[in-house]
Amino acid sequence: MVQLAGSMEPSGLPQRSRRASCRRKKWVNKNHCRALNMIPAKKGSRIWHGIGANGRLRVTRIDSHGAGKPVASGTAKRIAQQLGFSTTAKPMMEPMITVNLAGELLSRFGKRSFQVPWKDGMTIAGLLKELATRQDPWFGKLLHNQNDPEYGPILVLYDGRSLHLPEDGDQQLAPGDLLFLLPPILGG
Amino acid sequence: MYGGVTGRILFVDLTSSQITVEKPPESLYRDYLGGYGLGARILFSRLAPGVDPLGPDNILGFTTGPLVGTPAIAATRFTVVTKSPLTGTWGDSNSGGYFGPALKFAGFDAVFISGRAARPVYLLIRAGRASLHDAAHLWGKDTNETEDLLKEEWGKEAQVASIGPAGEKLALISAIIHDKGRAAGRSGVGAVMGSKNLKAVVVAPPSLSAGTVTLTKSGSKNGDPLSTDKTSSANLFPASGSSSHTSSNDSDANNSAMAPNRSFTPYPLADPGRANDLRQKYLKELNRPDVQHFRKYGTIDHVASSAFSNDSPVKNWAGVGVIDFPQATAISDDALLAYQEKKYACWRCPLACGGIFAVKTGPYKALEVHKPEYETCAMFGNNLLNDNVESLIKLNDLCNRLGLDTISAGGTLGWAFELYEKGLLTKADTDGLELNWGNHAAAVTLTEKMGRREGFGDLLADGSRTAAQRLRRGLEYAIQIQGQELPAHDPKYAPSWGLYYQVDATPGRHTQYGLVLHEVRKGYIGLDLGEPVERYRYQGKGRLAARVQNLLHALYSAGVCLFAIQRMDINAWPEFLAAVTGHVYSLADLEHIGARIAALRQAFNLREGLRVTEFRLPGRAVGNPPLPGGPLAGIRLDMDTMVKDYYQAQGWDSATGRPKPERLRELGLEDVAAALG
Repeated sequence: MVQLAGSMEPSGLPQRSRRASCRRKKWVNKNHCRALNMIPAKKGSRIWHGIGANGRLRVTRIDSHGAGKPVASGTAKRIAQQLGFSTTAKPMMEPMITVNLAGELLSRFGKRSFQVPWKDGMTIAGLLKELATRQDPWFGKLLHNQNDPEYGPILVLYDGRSLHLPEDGDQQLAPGDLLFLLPPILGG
Repeated sequence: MYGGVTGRILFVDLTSSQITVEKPPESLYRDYLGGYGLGARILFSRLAPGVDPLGPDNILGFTTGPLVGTPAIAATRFTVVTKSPLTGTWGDSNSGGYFGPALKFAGFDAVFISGRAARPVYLLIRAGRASLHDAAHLWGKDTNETEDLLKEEWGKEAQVASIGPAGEKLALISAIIHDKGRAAGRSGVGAVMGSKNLKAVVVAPPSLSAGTVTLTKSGSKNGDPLSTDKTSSANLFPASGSSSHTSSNDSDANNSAMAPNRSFTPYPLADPGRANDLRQKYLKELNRPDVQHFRKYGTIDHVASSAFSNDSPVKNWAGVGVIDFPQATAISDDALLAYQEKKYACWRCPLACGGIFAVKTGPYKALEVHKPEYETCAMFGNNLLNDNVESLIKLNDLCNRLGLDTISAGGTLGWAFELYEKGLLTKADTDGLELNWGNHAAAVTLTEKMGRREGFGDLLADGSRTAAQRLRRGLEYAIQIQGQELPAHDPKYAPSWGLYYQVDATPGRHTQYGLVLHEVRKGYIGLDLGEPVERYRYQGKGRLAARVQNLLHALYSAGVCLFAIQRMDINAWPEFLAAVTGHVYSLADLEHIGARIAALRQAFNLREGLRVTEFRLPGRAVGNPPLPGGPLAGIRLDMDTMVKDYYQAQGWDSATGRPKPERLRELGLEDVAAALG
């Protein structure tokens, strides 16, 4: 059974101190939910759910927690508590997509991976375009031609399988997903 | 005149202690260049078919090539040739470091050793002469200890190739180790050396820096017989020798022995000025980012990416990297490089892909040891699901000291781990070791046992096939061909690898690389095959694979390192050969020489009575059954089409693998045609 967290376990909410009650009220947003590993009930939905501190399903509504009740702004810990999650819940942070690099790409970019904030509806193509804008146009070219003129065919690995671009560019990404960009193995 | 060679080959009979020098005709160099080409020619002529590989009649050769010890880039290789005790086939294995150039500086293009010494000996080559010396004090020592002791005797500039306990105890997966970590690892060459009671070959500079030993007229401090050759040997070594093994910067200027205009060769070059100019020209081309990347990491840059792309075996070739070993980055590139103390370069090599590592504390403490190569990390890491990076450094050093081939050792451990998982081996069999996947402590202990033939290690010391046969179970999990464990490149990633593993005269060799570069990348710089190469298009692949492999046979025989061939314009090599030897070779000429070498090695196997067309890769290597997931999921190779095309292109009979008589005549191998009947 799914119930809205705010109305389901009001006792789970912390006692509001006088000081807290003076805080500016704010609506729950996607970032709060992502930080608690909540996911939308379906694509584009304003209803998000996740497993709360007591192991039970907790549900909230973006912009209108519970029955239109706002939560008090404050630390990530406070917001997590108001949504019925453990006070030791993960600190509030953006959910990310990680792009792992290997081989000569390590030297080209000087790092092993890039992290890109996940966005609702993000696709492989969207991710590469964002990387092209943020980091290096090389990622944008990859979207149109995996056979890189410098490195040869780049293996794009997602969810344990290789993707073919641009055909698989519409592949949807989920928070926390990993993408591997692997240049050819020359051997040794 | 044929430049770049000393024109002298040393023959040593350990049974009679007779040492002779022969001056082969120029045609030998012209037609075979050197390396395993020259080795195949000599062994085919002088080795009777059917000899016991571990018997006195087998011949063990150390060969160089015309480009070795010249301004040609990365021409550092020496190749050990013999009849392999591991596979029963033609055997060769090559290594870099300093031994090859030193051998030529000492006045020889190659050394061939037959017979068996009555007691352990080592061979000293110095200033155009050779002598045998008692090695009783070295027997039982590991290769590091052996090298240290011999350098105490003959000077720190001496170059040593030796065996460890594994070779002494005739382990069929034993190696010959040079410079404490450069290995001629494959084909069981260490066991052949051990069977001859030959602990080491030492190439010493003419002036002894140790200053404690005076050579007698016979050139020996203990009166052993000497070379019959009286050639003067003054100034064969460069003034500053080859002591600069480590490099933080790989330019020529940093190695005084490598000054490009210095006359450092004791043998004439056809056009030394041109050779040096070519070196400068191609050095400039090696400033590309991809080369700088290789210079930084060497082969360890792709341990993780090989696991994730499933190029690398995972869990004894049955696993999927991204599923079974997602932690592969823990044993790859920067994770390994964190242990590097300084760089290591082979003689005059601008690629400088090696490194000297140190694990300073802990159970796997290891100081001043060589960087493990990709093959080692993959076979002991990905293949065993071992993510302990320090254990890999330890395992590499252990294999170097014991004189074990890391590929076969890791492959054999993979076999044992799988049998343990399946209950086909228990703790009662394994001396109490729990061979669970990822158990790095067990891997280290068992490797030590393997190298010393102790307990359960004795069963594994001859490789997985022999172990399975002795155990009478688990042969289907031994990932080997003709007894040699497959290297850490899955043919499903690049099918040409599978083709070469199966059709080459030394089965299961990753250095028979040929067409792979065209499959996975753009091919060799400057080499136009005239048609595109598609990775999984099998029709016609064997034909192209034969062409490129033949070219590489010639370049290897000239003494060039694969890593330079991969990264330099292919036309550099005919240019260097012309400047060094004085003979003009086109790429087509080199292909022709390579075809000759390929046919001769193949004929060697056929003359041994081997049914070469029955050599088969294990199912897992060709996708039978296909991998259930990962980027290579569902791929199954069409080996038959590739092999058929390959044989046809080489002019070999597709049913028997036998080079056709007309093809042998075309290659100038009339005597081989006659020998095959």
